[in-house]
Amino acid sequence: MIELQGIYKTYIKGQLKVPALRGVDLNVTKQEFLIIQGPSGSGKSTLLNLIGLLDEPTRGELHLFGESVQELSDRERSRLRGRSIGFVFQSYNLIAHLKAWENVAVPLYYAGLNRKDRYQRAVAALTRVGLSKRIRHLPAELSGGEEQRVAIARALVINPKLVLADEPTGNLDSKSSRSMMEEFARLNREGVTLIVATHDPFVASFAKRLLVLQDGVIVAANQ
Amino acid sequence: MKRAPAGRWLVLTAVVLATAVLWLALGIREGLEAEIRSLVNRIGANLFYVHANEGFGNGDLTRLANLAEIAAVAGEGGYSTAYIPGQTYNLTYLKVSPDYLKVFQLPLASGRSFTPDDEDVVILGWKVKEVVFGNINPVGRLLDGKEIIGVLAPIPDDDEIRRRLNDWVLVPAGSDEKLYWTLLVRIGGAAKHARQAIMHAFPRVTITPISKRYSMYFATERTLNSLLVMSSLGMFIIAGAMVAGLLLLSVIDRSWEIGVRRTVGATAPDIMRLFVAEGLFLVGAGGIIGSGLGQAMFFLFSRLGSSPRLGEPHAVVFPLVFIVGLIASVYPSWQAARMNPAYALSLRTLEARSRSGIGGGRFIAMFVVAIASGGLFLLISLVAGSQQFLGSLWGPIDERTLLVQSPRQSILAPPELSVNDLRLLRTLPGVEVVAVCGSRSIRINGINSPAITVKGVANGWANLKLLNVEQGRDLSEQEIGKGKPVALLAASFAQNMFGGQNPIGQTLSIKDAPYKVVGVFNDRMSMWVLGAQVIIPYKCLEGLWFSHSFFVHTAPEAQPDKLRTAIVDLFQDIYPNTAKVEVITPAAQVTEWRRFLVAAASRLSILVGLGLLLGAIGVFNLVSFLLLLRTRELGIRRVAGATKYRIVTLGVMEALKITVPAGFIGLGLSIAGTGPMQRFLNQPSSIPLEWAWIIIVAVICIGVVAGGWPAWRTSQLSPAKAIRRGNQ
Ligand SMILES: Nc1ncnc2c1ncn2[C@@H]1O[C@H](COP(=O)(O)OP(=O)(O)OP(=O)(O)O)[C@@H](O)[C@H]1O
Ligand SMILES: [Mg+2]
Repeated sequence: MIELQGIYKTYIKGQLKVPALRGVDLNVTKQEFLIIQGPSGSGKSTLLNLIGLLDEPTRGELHLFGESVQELSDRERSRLRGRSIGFVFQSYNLIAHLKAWENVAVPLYYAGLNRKDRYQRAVAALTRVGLSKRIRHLPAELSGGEEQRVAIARALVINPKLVLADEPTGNLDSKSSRSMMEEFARLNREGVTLIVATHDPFVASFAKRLLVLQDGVIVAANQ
Repeated sequence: MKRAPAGRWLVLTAVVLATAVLWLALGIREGLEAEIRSLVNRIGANLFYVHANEGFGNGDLTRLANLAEIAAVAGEGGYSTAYIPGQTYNLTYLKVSPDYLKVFQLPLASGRSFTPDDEDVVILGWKVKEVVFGNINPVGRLLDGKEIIGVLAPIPDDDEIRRRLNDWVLVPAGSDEKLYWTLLVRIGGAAKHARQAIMHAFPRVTITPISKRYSMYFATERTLNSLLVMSSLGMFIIAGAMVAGLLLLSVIDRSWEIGVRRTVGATAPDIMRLFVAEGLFLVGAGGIIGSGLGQAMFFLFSRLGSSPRLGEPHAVVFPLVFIVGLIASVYPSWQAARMNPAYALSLRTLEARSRSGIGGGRFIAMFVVAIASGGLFLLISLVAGSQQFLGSLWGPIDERTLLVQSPRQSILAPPELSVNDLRLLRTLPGVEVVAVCGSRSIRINGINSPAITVKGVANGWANLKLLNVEQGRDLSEQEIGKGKPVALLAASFAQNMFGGQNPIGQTLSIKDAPYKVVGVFNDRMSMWVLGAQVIIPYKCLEGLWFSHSFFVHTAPEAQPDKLRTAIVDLFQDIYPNTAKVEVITPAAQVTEWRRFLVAAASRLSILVGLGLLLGAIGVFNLVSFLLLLRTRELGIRRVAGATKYRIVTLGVMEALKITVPAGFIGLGLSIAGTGPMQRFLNQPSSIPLEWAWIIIVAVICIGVVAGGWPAWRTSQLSPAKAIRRGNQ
């Protein structure tokens, strides 16, 4: 389902070249639950950004859902992001001036749904993550854990094939972290492929498959 | 938090004001053009004037009429004024071809038009009939020995071109070799083809469409209108640039949000639409409100009666608003759309966003200030240049110098002023100096031009210092007293006569006698009032002068207005039943021009002032935003011991980095633009660099206020608050 071959990513900042990924080969099949571990600066976020089509590799081949990503137009990439991939970030990335349900509904807007359908599906997604009482709250009126659940609802509302999460528990206490990972495990059982980047060993314990990244290369992998 | 980026309302206001001003300027312009069009339509737009220096004969007329593209042709010869002994009226005859009335669309009040066989018949202008015959229908009677066959219907006063025919008498041209100076041509088909055909048949003629002839009568107004339209277009461009600047800041402000939207599936065009919509909304809403405001001002003006003509500028303004809105939004939107989503997501805090720079925003703020300060300098150049121009028209005279002369064209016979009237004038209380002068047309030997007007001046002339002698010197009292053969030439005449050579010391032959040129005077305006190209001592041609006039210098205690009436009454007493003498105050005409200049300049200065205000708003927006992005840094600096004063200085410096270079750019641009502007206004070129400091002072003031104010507000935040806000 996801295929990376010889992926390099080098950030260029003036004269300085920062190699973030240096030849990553990776195959992810359907319904996998992959955890990427590694020290800070090892390239985890960079890898997720590439898989999520938020950025382009400097070199290498990336196939997503059987398509070569390099050949896709911006419109097709956006469509893939908006209809097949859900994102969860450490910092939630909720739009501050939109209510909880509106935040959840943003992907549906770009998928072309009308307002009524957007509302119904957003409320359903919020209910699923246990926030049926917070539909009209602004992000500033929610706790960190609630904000993260809104972010998850936003990732789920499109019924994604793939969910990418970058340090999803980074700002949460252990109880919230647990319920979140349990939610992820349930999703995975329902057929969603999950890739989670973390350095939290507790999170890593949920993995079906574990990958360790260091200095931009995969140094260890276990099934 | 979604902030309305500082100054969205200010920018909207800018668009509103700019549109209102543009609406007004275009409306006034359109109103005048519509008036000219209606004048042209009365006579028919397919009429052309064809003029040749050597004139046209009847054969030429027939040849032209036979061209396929030409519908009809009429000829107009020279006019001559006949003084009829023993009568209280004057007759000015104009020689015309038989078709003249038809081609010039002159309706008859009574009688008939010319036929080709007519000889010794006349058609009277309406006023001529009124003066000579009163209410009697004169058709069939004789005038000056010629049979009257018709009377023209009265021509309205606003018809600048034809109304002179009210005062004139039309006669059929004879069959001389060259009869007509001007041909009036009605064309059949396309103007372009007709022109080409005429040029082909008569390579040396000039062709002027009637619309252009009418436009010339409104030249000053049109020029002022063009200035207004150009400056309001400048304002509008500034407003558009401010919208673009605001959007650029807004893109940076919302870059992280763009990242989030991209993550959940927004395409690049989706993002682009977001900002184009914002830009079009700002410009569109501003445009609609501004047009309404402009229209309201129209109504106000027409109520106050100061602007009777209102055009309909929406056909220009609405598309312009749309196009400017689109252009202003495209670059920022494109910037937003092409942002890498991963990068945009990394700009989560204000501080992170400050990394992404605001290059475009800075450039636009600079552009706005540059245009506005350039406009300021252009205005200064305009005023300084005009002052210099007005100062060059006459010598160092004031409103105490009067010119008394026979009216040059009048149906009533003019008083035949003579040297003897000098004594009578001197008896009027309040008259200090009187100089007599005589004038007549003379063919100057050795130049191939029609006769020119020579004026002879008598003692007292040199003391008047009436003319602005640009080169050489004026005639001296001694030369005038002794009748030395010396001459003072009008600059334009000297240019014709001697080309590039220095005219001083050259000789000129008048009535076979040589005259030495001692000076050249500026005749840009005096030519029009004075009507003479050459000035020589009166004594040189004593007895040959054709008509007389007087220069009067009034005593300081005399009231010029009262004296003018006294002079007119005096000559009415001496010459009853004649036209009244004209009393012209040359300086008053300059004063009138100056008043016009002041009115124009103050109107333009409102625009320039608005432009500078907009520039200040642009800088204010930019510095506010810069400081917003750097709030956390400033908080940390405060923690580390920076005083509030240092923060304010920082803001002012940021602003000066924009406004001072912009001032210099604006100065450079306007210096480059001064030449074309002055040529456009027919002014002598002059760049008042000694006033350049005003621009520098203006941009420094803008920098201090527009940078210091937001910085002062930031400095009022407690350091703790500043750090927290910076983390948003
Ligand atoms: N936009 C960028 N410009 C330059 N260098 C970058 C950029 N983003 C990341 N890097 C560099 O690339 C390398 C990999 O960064 P990345 O964010 O992928 O690491 P990470 O594994 O996610 O780290 P962490 O666990 O701290 O989040 C780092 O050395 C980082 O400094
Ligand atoms: Mg990371």
